[in-house]
Amino acid sequence: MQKEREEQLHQVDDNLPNGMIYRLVHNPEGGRSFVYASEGCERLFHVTPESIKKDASLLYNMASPEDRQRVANLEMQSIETLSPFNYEVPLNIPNGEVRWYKWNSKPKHLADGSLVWDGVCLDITDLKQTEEALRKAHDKLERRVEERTAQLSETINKLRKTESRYRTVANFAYDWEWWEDPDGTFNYISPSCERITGYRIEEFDDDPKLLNQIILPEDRDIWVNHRQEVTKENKFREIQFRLLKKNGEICWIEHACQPVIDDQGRFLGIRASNRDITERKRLETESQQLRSELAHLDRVTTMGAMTAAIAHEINQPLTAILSNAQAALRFLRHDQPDLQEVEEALEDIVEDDKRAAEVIRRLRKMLKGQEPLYETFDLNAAIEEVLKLANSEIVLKDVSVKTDLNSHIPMLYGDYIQIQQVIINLLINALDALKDQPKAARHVLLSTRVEGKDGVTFAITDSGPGINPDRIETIFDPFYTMKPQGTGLGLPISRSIIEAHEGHLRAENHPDGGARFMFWLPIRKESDHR
Amino acid sequence: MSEKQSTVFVVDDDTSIRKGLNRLLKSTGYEVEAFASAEEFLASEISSDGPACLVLDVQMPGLSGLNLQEKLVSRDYSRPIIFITGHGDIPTSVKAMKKGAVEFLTKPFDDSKLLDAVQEALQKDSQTRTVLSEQEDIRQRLATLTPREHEILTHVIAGLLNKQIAYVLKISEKTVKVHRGRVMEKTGVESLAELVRCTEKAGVKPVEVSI
Repeated sequence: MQKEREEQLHQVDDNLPNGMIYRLVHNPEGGRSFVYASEGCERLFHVTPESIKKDASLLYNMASPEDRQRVANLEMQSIETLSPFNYEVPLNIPNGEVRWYKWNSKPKHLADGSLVWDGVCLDITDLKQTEEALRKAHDKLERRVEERTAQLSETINKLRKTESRYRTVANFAYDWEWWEDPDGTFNYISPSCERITGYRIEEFDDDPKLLNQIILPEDRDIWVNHRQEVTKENKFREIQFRLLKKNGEICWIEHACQPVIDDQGRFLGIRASNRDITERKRLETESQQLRSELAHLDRVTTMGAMTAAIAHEINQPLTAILSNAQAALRFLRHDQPDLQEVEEALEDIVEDDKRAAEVIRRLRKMLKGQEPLYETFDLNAAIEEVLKLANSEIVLKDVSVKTDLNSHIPMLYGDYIQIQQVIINLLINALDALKDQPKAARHVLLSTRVEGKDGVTFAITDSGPGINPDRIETIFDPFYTMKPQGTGLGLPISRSIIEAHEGHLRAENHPDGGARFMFWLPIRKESDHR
Repeated sequence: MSEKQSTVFVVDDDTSIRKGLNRLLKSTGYEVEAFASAEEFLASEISSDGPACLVLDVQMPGLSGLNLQEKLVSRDYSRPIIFITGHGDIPTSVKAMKKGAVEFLTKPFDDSKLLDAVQEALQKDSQTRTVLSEQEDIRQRLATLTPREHEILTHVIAGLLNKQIAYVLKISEKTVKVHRGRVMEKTGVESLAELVRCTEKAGVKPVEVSI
C-alpha cells in the first residue's frame, strides 16, 4: 500500500516539471520537518529531497529573515485554525538565482496526534516575471494616462482661463452685449442688460418677446425695419430707439449689430451691442434747447431791427384798405351809386386785408416757437417767403435783389423757421454791407443749386466791399459785430443752426468783389433723421 | 366843370396802393393815370392840356419819388407834386417841400387829406398854367418886334423919355415915337404901366443907362 502510494506520487511528480509534492510535519516539541519531498525538489531548489528531509532549515534559510518570520506567522495561524497554509515567497537558491515559489497546503491531524501539511510547491518565477512585466506595463500606461490627463487638464484650464477672460470682458462690458443664435434665441447676454433695462439676463432668456415688447411703440417700426435689413444684408448697422425700462423710465438705446459669419460662410447668428445714450440724448436735447432759445432771441432781435420795414409792410395794405373803403363810400353817395366800383373796392379790401394778415402770420411765425420743429420743406419757398418778409427792408435800403433758384432742388428735412432765420440773417447782412455803395451798385443775388447727389447749396452774394480776409473766420465768433445795433450773434447762431442740420456755413469774397455766404445742407428724409 | 379834365398822375410801386388811390381819386371825378415806377412815368408821353398834379411814393425801387422830383425840376416840368410815404421822416419831407412839393402825406392817410392836397395842387397848377399861357402869349407877341423896336422897348421900360432915347440911340425923337407906337400896337397894351408888367412877366430886362 505504501509502495503503491509512493509510485502514484512519483508519477504525479514527474508530471509537475516545476513543482514538488511534500508532507511537512509539525513537531509538538517545536520545529518542523519534511517527512516527504518529491523528486521535483532537486529541480526546484537544487537540493536533494533527502537533504531537506534531514534538515528543513536548508530551505527555510533560503528565504530572507523577514519572509521567514512571515511564513512562521502564517504557519502558526494554520496550526491554530487548521486553515490552509498558502503563501508565495522568493528564495535564494544555491545556484545564486532568486526564484519565486508558491506553497499551497492544508493541515490535518494524524492518528498519532501530530499535525501534517500535505502540499504542492510550484516555481512561479515565470508567472511572477510576467506579472511584473504586466504590472510595469500597467504602471507605464497609468503614468501616460496621468501625463495626458495632466496635459488635458492644463489645456482645459487654459481654455477656461481664456473663456473666463472673454466672458469677464463681456460681462464687465459697460454696454449691453448679446449674441443671438441663427434661430433668434440668445446665446449670450451681458449682465449690463440689467443696469440698462432693469431686466435680468434670465428674463430675456425666458421670454424671447421681451425685447420687442419694451421698445416704445413709436419706435417699434424702426426696430422691425432694422431687423429685416440686417438679415437681408451682411452689413454693420446702427440705429437708435427708445425703450421702457422695468422701472417705467424711458431709455435711449444706440444699437449696433452685425451678422456673424464663420470661415466657411456659415451664418452663426447676430452679434449686437447696445449703448445707453439717454444722457447723451438729454445733453443733445439740452444744447438743442439752448440753441433754439438763442436762435429765438436772435430772431426777436432781427425782427426788432426790421420793425420799421415790417410796419411798412403792414401799412401798405392798410393804406390801400382805407383808400378803397373811402372810395367805396364816395361811390355809394353818388346820385347814382356805382355798385360795380363798390364791389371791386370791397374785393380789393379783402385781398389787402389778407395781405396784411399774411405779413403778421409770417412775423408771428418768426417770433414764436422756441421748440425746434423738424419737417419736410422746400428751400426755394423758404427763400421766397423771406424775401416777402424783408421786401420793405430791401426797398428802404434801395437794393436790387435778384434770385437764381434751381427749381429741381429736392425737398429738405429740417427746422423751416430756423433755416429761414439763417437766410434772413445773411440777407440783412448783405443789405447792410451795401449801405455805403452808390445806389446803382447795390445788388444782392440769392441762388440755390443741387450739389452732387447728397446736398443742396444756398449762396447769397452782395456787391459790397467784401470781408476783410483776416476776419473771414472771426466773423462767425460770438459777439463779433461791425454793426452798432447788432447782437453779434447772428452769424454764430446761423452757423450753429446749419451745423445742427449736419450742413456747413462759410463765407468768402467773390472774385468780382463783394462777399458771398454759402450754406450746404445734406438731402435728408424724415426717416434718416434719427 | 373844368375839374373834369383834371388829371392826377399816381406813381407807386405797390399795386394795392395804386388801385386804392386810383379808385379814390376817380370817385371824386378826377382822371387818373397810374405808374408802377418813376422810370415808367418818365418814359410815358406826359401830355395833358388840363390841370394836373402828381402823387408820388417816396420809397420805390430804382428811382425814388425824390429822385423823380429832382429830374422833373431839372426838366422845367412844373406840375405840383404830393408825396406819400410810409416813413414820414422830417428831413426827407423838408427836402421835398423846399423843392416845391405841395404836401407830404404819411400812409395811411384820410381821403380828405389827400383830396384837399390834390385840389390845392390842381388850383396851383391852374394858376401856373394861366401865368404860363400869359407869358407865352406875350413872348409870342414880343417875338414879332424888329430888333430896333425891341431896342426901343428896353429903353421905354427903363423909364426913359422919347427925347432921352433919341439922344442915347442917336436917332430923331420922331423915329423913336414911330417905333414906340409900333411896340404898343404889336404887344397890344394900352399903357406904359401895362407894358412894364407884361415885359416883366416875359422876363425882358430894361436897359441900364446912365445919363
